[in-house]
Amino acid sequence: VFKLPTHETKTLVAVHGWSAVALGFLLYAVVLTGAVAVFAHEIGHWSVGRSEGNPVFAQALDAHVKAAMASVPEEYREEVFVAESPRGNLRVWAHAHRKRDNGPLEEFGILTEIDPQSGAVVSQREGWRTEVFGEEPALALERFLVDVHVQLHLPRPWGLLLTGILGLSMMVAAISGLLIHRHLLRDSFTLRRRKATLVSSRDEHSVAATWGLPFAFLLAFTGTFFSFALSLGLPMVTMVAFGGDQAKMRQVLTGAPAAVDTRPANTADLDSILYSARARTDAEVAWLSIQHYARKDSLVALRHEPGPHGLEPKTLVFNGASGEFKEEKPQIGVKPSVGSTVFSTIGPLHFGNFAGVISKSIWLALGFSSCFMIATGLSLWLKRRSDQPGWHWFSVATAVVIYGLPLCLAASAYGFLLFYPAPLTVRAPAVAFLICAALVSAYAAWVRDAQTLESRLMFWLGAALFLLPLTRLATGGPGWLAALETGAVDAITIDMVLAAGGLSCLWFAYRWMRRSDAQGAANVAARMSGTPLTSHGRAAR
Amino acid sequence: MLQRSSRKEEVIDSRAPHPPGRRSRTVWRWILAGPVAIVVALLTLMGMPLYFPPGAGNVDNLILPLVLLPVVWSALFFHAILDRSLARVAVVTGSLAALNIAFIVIQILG
Repeated sequence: VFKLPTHETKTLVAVHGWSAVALGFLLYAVVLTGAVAVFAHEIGHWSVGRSEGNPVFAQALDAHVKAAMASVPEEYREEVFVAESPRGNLRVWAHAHRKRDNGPLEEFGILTEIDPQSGAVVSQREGWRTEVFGEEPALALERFLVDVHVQLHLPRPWGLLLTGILGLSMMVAAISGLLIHRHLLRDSFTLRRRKATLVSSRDEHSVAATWGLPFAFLLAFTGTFFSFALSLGLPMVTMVAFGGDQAKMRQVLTGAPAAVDTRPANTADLDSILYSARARTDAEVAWLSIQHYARKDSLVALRHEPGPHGLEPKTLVFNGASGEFKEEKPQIGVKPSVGSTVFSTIGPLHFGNFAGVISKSIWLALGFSSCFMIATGLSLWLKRRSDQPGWHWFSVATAVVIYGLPLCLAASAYGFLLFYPAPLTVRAPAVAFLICAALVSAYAAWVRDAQTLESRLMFWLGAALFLLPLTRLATGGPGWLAALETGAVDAITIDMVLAAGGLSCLWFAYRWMRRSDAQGAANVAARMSGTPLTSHGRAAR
Repeated sequence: MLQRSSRKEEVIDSRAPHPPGRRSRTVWRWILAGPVAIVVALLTLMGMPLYFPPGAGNVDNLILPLVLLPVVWSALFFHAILDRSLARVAVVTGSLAALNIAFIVIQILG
């Protein structure tokens, strides 16, 4: 499509290849965990064996919230956040905003988890938001998957900066890949699997890249925004535009506070507010927040996920004392604007949650196709350098990352299932991931052959995925019949996907092992006949 | 990497050596495409809120620079590696930097 001069094309080919070689492994990690994290919420439900399919916002919750708030000290009534816990319970986070160790403002309060059926308090904890939510065993697996995707499990802001740089490198790869494609349409349909290995590898990469190009660009653009906006952009904009005054910046972004009226007042019926909100939008409620609980100036805000008729989430605001509808508030600022619309749209486009399970499934598939694109790109790079001994260890490392990373993610799920609900669960996914990574690396150092590693790691990945549902059941998770009775389909669906994925991996492993054995036999024959071997220790063809 | 460049299966090899005289130009090109592009993109991020129209909600000048950061960086990066005239790259990048620095300095001084 683009006919650049040869010199520029050569430069772009170098940029495309070297950016992928330099950052491809980390980019693969971010894209793979991102694809899985599309269903992080559902995986969270699956991991804790949630047996209730009825969302808390579809049930009466007014009495439960007010009963919980009756025992909460006055100081924590500045803001109350109501949401659903991973176990399907009602979670009430009553908190104030305090300065922590002369650092930024952080929420401090009491988290109460309530059984929505009986109203019984399941647990109650007091502390900083980071600790109270971070130490919750039920969230450990979901949080780990999202954390690896968002910041590669590194401390802030370094992890965010790194994923931001990876987003930029993905944009570079996508744009340079588009510019060096001379025959975009023809390459989209050319897949010569029976031709020479190099040609078929090139075709695999071109087909995957051509079809996945818009998605890759979209993900890179929105992902870079999220990483840099939080770690770098907002602090810089605050410094220049507001002289470093965070409160002033927050006031502009969230809207000026309503007139202060500290007189006590009863909080309106939350169930009636939810009923009124349902009449205004058909989207599901994600969370509910109450500002200045039990005061005249109280406001109740309901956040709705993007509905079937739009990309943007909605926030409806009600008077907290009278229960009257006040306004539909933009996500940013006090009036609808281009900036607010763009900001609201970026999230659903990145998370793929704008059309429920259908859009999430498409995002998951496109995420995996992006992983395939990275893997075939690295494979193509290596095949073109198969005669250079210096690249041997890179080929081994590629096999470790491409096939070892999903195995380590499966190991993190095992770590969670084996320790949940003990307090150790919070660290278990990360520890299991690291142990698995160490074992895979040691095995790779011992085997030293990429082809053998690929087939063996694929086998272990298949076995690990296939056995995960059985492990969930063996560690006390609810069975399929119990899940069907309560309408909790997440556990059943994910079990089936894991079993099918495991069997697919085992089938590929079987094919690759046969290929590997045939290659091994050829190598032995070559050694006996004195035929020279390639730098990878294989018989030259 | 190798890349076919025409229907006649011409092969472009990025590993082919450059003429010796180009080495310093290549170094300068990568300095402009790498660290300089990042610094100028960040300067644009800081300067834009001061001159970009705030819009009806008074937030466009705060949000759109954040959204445009990857676009600005990509534009500077690809311009630096594709434009044969290094002087033109330096002028464009330098002008953008100077414009934003001027707005930031005026804001800081009052």
